Amino acid sequence: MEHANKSDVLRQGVIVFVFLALLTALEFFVAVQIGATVLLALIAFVKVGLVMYYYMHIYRLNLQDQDLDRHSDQYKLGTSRIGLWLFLLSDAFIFGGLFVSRFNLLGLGPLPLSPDSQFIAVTITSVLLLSSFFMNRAEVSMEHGDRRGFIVGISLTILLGLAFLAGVVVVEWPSAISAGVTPSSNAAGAVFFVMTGMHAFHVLTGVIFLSIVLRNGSRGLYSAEKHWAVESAAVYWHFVDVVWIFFYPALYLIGKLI
Amino acid sequence: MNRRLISIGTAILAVLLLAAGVLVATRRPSLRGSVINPPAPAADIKLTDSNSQPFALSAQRGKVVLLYFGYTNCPDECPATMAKLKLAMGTLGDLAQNVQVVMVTTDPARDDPAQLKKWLTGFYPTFLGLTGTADQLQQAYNAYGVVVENGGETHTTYLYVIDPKGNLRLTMVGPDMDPQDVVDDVQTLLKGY
Repeated sequence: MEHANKSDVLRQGVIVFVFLALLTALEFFVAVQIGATVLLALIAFVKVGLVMYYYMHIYRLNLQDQDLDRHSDQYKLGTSRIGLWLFLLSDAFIFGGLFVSRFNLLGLGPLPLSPDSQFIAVTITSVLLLSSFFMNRAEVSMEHGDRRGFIVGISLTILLGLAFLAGVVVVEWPSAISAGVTPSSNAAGAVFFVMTGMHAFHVLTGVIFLSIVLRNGSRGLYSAEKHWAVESAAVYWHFVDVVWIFFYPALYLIGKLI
Repeated sequence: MNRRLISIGTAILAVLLLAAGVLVATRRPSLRGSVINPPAPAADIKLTDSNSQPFALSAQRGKVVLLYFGYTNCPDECPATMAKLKLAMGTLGDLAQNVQVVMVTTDPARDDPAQLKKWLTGFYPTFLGLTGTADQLQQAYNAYGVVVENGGETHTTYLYVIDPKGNLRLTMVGPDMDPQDVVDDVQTLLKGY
């Protein structure tokens, strides 16, 4: 895939995003019309598969590096990738634990969230998916030496990330609190705030990470040949999106059959 | 590379849409009350009604029976339940003729047929009260898990919902329930679900 031309790869990013959007729409339809939790899970796995393969390029962990000199950039890139994915795996345990707690405490029932919350949630979910789209664009641009494309893409990612944060902290949380769902109201409130809070914290750290990468990138520190910071920031960002792909239906869509 | 992505992606999306379509087409209505699954045949009740006529629960096939255990001197829960049932009957309109509300008295000393009739028809003309001998009543109480204390009080405020085939399908908490839930479930059961 490294040898494909830039416009092909960019187009691939668009196609993946279109599928993600369609799957999100289907997921919402399934939730309100059918209430089939298994189908919701299936859709989530397909979305995650798309993000992990096409945006996070997890297959790069499998690249041949046996013949390489252990001091070469290629080799170090390979080990850096393993390190990053191990870190993501450890982070996944935290989110996985929270995810399991939701079902342990609340079963397959819904959280007592208002219709306003549903609307806010579908909006911020779209914002986050769109941010992954632009992050992919930024990374692909950098891979092909397009510094301007990289700067535009990463800036849009940061803006959308901030919009997601505002959506959660400034709009959704007060809305939930006024509906009686607070961190200390009951199990459902605790689950809701810890899950969205932990995730939002990761979005915040992601935005900080991306801002540093943007600054360095604007100063010409990265190139098509050496841009590990960009790749790692992108993979981290997509990971945060993957977490939300599981958290959104778990918090908002299960048990919402009308 | 993009063409392959589009074909595989569209194939997966098509499968998911198909699954969703099948699930929409085979949707069954859900019941709002506490569902008894699988449905159990409702224990028969043979008592005397508020018109002093013999009443048998098993003779009510074809109607949804809303069964309650209460007494006319009940200060709050029984009137609250009957008031909600009255609202539900109003909303049901024409379908109300296929619904029979029945209250078995837990205070036979004070609730004779005339008293039951006066109190119940005050809520809705077709509401029936049931009374009988101590043994007959005790049989009914046992069959539905009702414990009666002095003066007619019970701790059971359940509304037992029996479908047109004579099966006990669900219960609701009489004083707390939403009349719309009663309407929705009655409509679902009358459709044969």
